[in-house]
Amino acid sequence: MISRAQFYLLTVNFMLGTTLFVTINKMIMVGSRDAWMIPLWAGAYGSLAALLWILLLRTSPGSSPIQIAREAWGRPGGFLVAVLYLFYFCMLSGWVLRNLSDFMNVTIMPETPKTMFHVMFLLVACYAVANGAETVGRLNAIVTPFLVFPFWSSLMLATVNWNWERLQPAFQDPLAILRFHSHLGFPFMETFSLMMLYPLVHSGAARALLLGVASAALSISLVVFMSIGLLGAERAARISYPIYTIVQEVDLGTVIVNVHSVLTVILIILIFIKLLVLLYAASETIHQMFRPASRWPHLLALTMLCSAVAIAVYENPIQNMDWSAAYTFVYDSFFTILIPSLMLATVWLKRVFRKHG
Amino acid sequence: MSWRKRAVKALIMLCAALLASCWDKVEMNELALISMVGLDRNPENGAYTLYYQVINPASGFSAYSVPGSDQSPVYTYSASGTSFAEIQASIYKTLSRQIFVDHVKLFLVSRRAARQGMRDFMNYTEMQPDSRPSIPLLIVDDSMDDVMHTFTPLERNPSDAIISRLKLLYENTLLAGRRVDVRDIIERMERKEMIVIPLIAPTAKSSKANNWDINEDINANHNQLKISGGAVIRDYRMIGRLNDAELIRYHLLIGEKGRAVRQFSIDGQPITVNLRSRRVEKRLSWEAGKPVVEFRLQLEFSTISAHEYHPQSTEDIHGLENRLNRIITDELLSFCAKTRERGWDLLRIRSLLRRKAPDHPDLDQAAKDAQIKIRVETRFAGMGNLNRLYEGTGEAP
Repeated sequence: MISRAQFYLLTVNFMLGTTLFVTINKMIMVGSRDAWMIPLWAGAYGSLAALLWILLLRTSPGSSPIQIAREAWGRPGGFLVAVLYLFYFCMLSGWVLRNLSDFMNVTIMPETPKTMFHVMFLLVACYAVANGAETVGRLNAIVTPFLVFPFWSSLMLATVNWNWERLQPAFQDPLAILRFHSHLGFPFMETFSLMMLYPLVHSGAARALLLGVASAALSISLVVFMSIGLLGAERAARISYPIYTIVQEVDLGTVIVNVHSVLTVILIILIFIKLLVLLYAASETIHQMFRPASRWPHLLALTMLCSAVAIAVYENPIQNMDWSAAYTFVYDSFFTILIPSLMLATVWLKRVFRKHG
Repeated sequence: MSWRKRAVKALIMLCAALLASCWDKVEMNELALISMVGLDRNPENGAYTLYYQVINPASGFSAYSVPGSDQSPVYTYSASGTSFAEIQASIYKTLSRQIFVDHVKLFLVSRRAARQGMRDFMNYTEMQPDSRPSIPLLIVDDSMDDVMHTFTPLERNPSDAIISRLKLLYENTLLAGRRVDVRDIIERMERKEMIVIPLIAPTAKSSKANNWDINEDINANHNQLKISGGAVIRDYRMIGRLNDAELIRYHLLIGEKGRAVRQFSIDGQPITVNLRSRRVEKRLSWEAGKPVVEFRLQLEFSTISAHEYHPQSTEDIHGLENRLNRIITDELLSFCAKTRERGWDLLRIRSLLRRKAPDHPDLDQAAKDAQIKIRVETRFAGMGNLNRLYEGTGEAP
């Protein structure tokens, strides 16, 4: 069992995970100076989606979506849903890992093979996951302060370059979200992975989840706002990792000129946490499907699967961008809106029939 | 102490005298540590000149004010004659220490010596128990004297500088291959194959003389050594040379794994790409009794240096990949045709036939008749830190 606060922190870190490093520039490309409104809209949508999942999990307290599927649609239906979710979680893990290795290859370690990053991260994450949800929650709670303070303080250090003119004229395009629907999926709908942890929260998980979604949306919005104010929409839209560049431009006197290494460490840890949650969700899915006696063998299998997915998930960042713009929303909606809605409808209908029948 | 114990003690002490291996003892202070060996041969009288570059132990390791740092870091000794061993022995007319070649890092052979043939030299070095077959051999494209009497900036020891440049050239430009050691040359020659090894030449001289003072000159392009181009070696003889563009193609085709940067022109639009060779496969098949050799090259490229153009979509990438495939294939094919015209089997077709069809009656003719096909598959693998290029019109003229 994990506490409400731990679940809140997990939610926030999960959503910030890769988002801060992957989508900022695309968001600014679409929304230009008003891009900071995109995460707010997306956050509102994310809260609605979270409400749907909470409703679903309230129908049978203590069960995970996988178990609810089995209750609703029987063994074969439940099994099918479990397999679908297992692949969904593995796919996301692969994606997260690949984003990480791309970032590392472009910024500081161009020679290291991608698989090396993937496998090393997976092995450490497997160890944490094998120790259970408590370890995952506690680990995240312990590292969070070490992420929050360095991250915001290094961004604050950069504010010497701030210029309000970069944000003017404002409010020209408040509905840019309509042209950037993939943001609804990534990261807001992906948060569904946390519903595998939801039943393990002591009490008040719903509030923690909603608060987490809201905080994450605000944080992303603030980061986008700062990116525009510090780099200008034109540069921020073109640079692949705007936050990295912002912090790269910070000089503390003439000696400390490499603050961006701090940011790299933060990114690595944030991505690790996202991976941890996804891997936990995948392993828990296997656990609830087959109830294996031991934990390690299937974790090793997951390592192999996820590292293979990470290499194969896309060929190059441009393909990733194309795919994401075209399909992310539909893809995530299928897993996190359609299936849960159908489950919820089935459960309700069953109850209605039972009452009257 | 008993009498017997004393006797044993004395015996043990006597044995200790044998431990010093008195006959073959070598004193560090009596050795001349050689870092580079040069070979020249006068085509008129056939006399060899051997150059030994000896590390000066009294020179400091740092360029700053260390005692002895004003001394030259290396000294070059030379002697001439018609037999290698004779020359080596006569070097003691000027050299005050025992020659110690176990730390040689580089062999240099002058162009005119290479044109006459290096077989005797190879035989001689391989015969010596302290031979160093695993060090690179370079051809000097100018006067041997000049090269052996030239310092290199930054690295105090010229052989270190050259070795380090070979590595950098291999990793970043594909202008140097990985296997250019003495052993590789011997192996290729004995298999009747060809090899291309780097050429080195001195650069322009500034007014200062050939001494350590030139290290005070800020222009590092003067008074030093430059690696450029490749010498084609067949049967221990230099028979021609390749320029830089040809060298890259040669190294790609023989399967070197380094990387190279090239500006291509695609429909008149220039684009610089960083190429990296991933895999090269040779396939042999037969058509109407004649061999067909297909080279399949897998190359990865990155647009991290493409300041001219950046692909925006998957279609752009596929288009770019296809164009690059075609351009590189054409370049490689014309390179093959050009070298085969000169009768050079740089791609080692004959060896391939010998391996795959050992019973063929006339390997040389078959290698000449072989048809070459090249298939290049490039794959976009990475990009720089910009998603789109800035659009201002202030383009460089």
